[in-house]
Amino acid sequence: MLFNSYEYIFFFLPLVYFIYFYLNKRHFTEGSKAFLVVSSLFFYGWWNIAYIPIILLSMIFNYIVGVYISSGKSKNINRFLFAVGIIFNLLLLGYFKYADFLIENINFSLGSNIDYLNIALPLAISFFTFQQIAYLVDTYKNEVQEHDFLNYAIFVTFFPQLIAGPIVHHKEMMPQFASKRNKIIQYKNISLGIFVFSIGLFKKVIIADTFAVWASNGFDKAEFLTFFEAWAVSFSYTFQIYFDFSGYTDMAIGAALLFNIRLPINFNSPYKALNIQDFWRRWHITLSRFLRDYIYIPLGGNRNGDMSTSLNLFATFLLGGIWHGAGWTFILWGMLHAFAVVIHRIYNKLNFSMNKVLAWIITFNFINITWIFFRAEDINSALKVLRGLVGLDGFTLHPYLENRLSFLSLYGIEFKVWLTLFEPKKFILILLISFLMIFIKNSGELQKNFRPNLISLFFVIGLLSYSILNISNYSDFLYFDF
Amino acid sequence: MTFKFKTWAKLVIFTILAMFGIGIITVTIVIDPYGELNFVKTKFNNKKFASNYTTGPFLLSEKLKTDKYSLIFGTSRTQLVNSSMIHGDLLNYSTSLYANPSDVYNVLRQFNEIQLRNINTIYYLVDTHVFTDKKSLYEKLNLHSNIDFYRQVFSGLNMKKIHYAISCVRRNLGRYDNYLNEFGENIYLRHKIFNPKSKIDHFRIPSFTKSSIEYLQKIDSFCKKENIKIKYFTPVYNIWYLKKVDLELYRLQFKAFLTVIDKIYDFHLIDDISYDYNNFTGTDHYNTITTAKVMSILESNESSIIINEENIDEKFDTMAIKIREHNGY
Repeated sequence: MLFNSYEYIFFFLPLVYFIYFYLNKRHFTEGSKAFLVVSSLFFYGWWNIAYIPIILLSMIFNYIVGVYISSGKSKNINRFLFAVGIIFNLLLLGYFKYADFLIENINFSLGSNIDYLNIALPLAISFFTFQQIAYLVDTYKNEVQEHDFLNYAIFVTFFPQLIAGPIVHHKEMMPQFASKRNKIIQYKNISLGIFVFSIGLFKKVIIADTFAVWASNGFDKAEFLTFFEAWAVSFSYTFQIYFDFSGYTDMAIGAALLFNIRLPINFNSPYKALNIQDFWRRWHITLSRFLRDYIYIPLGGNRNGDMSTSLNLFATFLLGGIWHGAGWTFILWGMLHAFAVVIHRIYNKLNFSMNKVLAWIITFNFINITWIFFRAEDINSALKVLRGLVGLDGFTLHPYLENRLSFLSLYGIEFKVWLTLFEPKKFILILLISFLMIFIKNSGELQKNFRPNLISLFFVIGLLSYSILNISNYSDFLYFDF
Repeated sequence: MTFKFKTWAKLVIFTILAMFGIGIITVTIVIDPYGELNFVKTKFNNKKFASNYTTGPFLLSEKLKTDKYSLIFGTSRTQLVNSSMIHGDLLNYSTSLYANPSDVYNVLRQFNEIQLRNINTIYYLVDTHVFTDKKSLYEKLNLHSNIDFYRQVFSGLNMKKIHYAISCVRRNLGRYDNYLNEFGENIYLRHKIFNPKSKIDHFRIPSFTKSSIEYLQKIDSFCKKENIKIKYFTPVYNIWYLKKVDLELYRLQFKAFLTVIDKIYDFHLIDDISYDYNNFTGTDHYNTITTAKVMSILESNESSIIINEENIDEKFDTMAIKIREHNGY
């Protein structure tokens, strides 16, 4: 079920909310938890009921391993169980996500003809697997005290964050689910939840889905892109992915708040970043936290000198790229970011400094260009956009600008119709709004200043009604594919 | 003015619920711009002018459960086709479903035995721009679930539907040039004529997607397997438009079609039609009379306009010469 759908907004969410708090009011605490788990599985199974056994298998297996580890029979047994747990999760993820990619590369390099498995990627498998790996690590480190199955099931399946995060830790969720105060309806959280949800819905439906059409036209359909088209297409995707994913996260945070659960923030105006390290502190924060805590630091972090630190950073970003998808484009994207982080580290060590505006332009454009690899179906598609960006396929402006900029034709710039469905007025308007939104307060900051007054009332009603009325073709969230 | 959190939350929730409740009653139930429910029929909503891309095909396909029809899948260039132009009755999917091959296949494969038996002929307009869509918009369309149909109807209150509802009332109470009937046919009462001196814009045609050609093959195999006659045909164009298009790209695209299907009725340049702008309503659209001519030629199985793998180059070369030789308006 999508957050940006009628059935979610008008039926699922209110119904689950009322039944959950009704059960709590009647002191059926365990019943309310069980209800939340079943509802979350229903939410998950709405896409494809065949996914449910996979998540159940993963959840039950990890829970049993976690319980055995925490029972602390002996260090060796714990180490063995921990290894079994991690291998199980990696195999599950590897089988569903990377098997065909592996076969493709074996076939290519050995000239073999192994049949593809053609397995459909179960929704959210990367997210719930990472979350449970973190649980096993925390259990192994003796940082998990509680092993109630129902609580664990809520931790894994809680529908607001099940599909695309934020990736949460067992220890930050369990006290919230256990808190008696959180079993009572709290109107402050409802108001905040609705407020944040409405911002997220607007970001997704009005901004991200508008950019999606242009990005899709440019990446998937065009045979070549001229200079301005290529920039328009790359900006379109850069803003689409941000507003799509941060919109999703806002809706997740908002929905969780209705249940008095605070999810960690996942975005902090990432396109304001002045360097690549800053970007990763602001973008998909909970994934960065996971990669830092469970890959970078265990590899040695920055404890063994510059060379080792650089290698660790490189490995972490490479794995981050692979986590996003099975394809060379994702690997390339991860490597580019790894190089950038390492270069930035060296740059910092040398105590260089840069003008802030220049730093922002470099960082934003680096991110914009690397998203091309992230989005493109293959390397050739990425190269097509890159060729356009540097003008190798000509310079063509939209006829819409012909009257205003006709003098440019003296310099060889033609005015021709762009890709189908490309509306220049709308594009310029949405692009300006998006750039503006980079620099104004983000939803997390707005949430802190939230007051239940007339302005916020009209603001929320306006955002909600306009966004809901624009839900026409339900579109999936980009991060559902990862 | 500051509210208590409780009051603020309730105000938001009740306002939204009230707005959407009223919206669904007036737009979806009373005005019903797509003719989905037909609960209320008065002079302000009697004629319909639009159809919905999911509920429209459902309503058309329901008719096939009881009577025999020919089906036409196409774009705006086939919306004017109606039963009087062919032998027998017609269901026209051009307005609601359009012609994306994955959508067409999705509809065909969902027909039950009775529906398949009730198909006379399928007419499929292979309009090149529909072979560029990466993903079907309508892949979730379910032709046999009433629950799904009503879910689509009641969750479909959006800006587009409101716009069509207002337009529906306005046009019913005022003047209208055309309307859609329950068979998906676009009935025109008055026509505009194309002025060839007007500027002809042409979009850059995106490349075909591999999957769209695969779906075309699936459609063809399905029809062969089910013993259903299917006729593929192209739109007819005016000479002024053809002068502006990239004919070589068209040639390649039609060659791609002919790798998976045997023949296409090629209407690109028809001597009796293409040189007279009175036959057209715009740059690349034509009127009801022209539509009827096209369907009549198609019904007569005119062999001279068939293109296949053997004669495609010859046909396109001849067309290129004709286009080059044409002068003036």
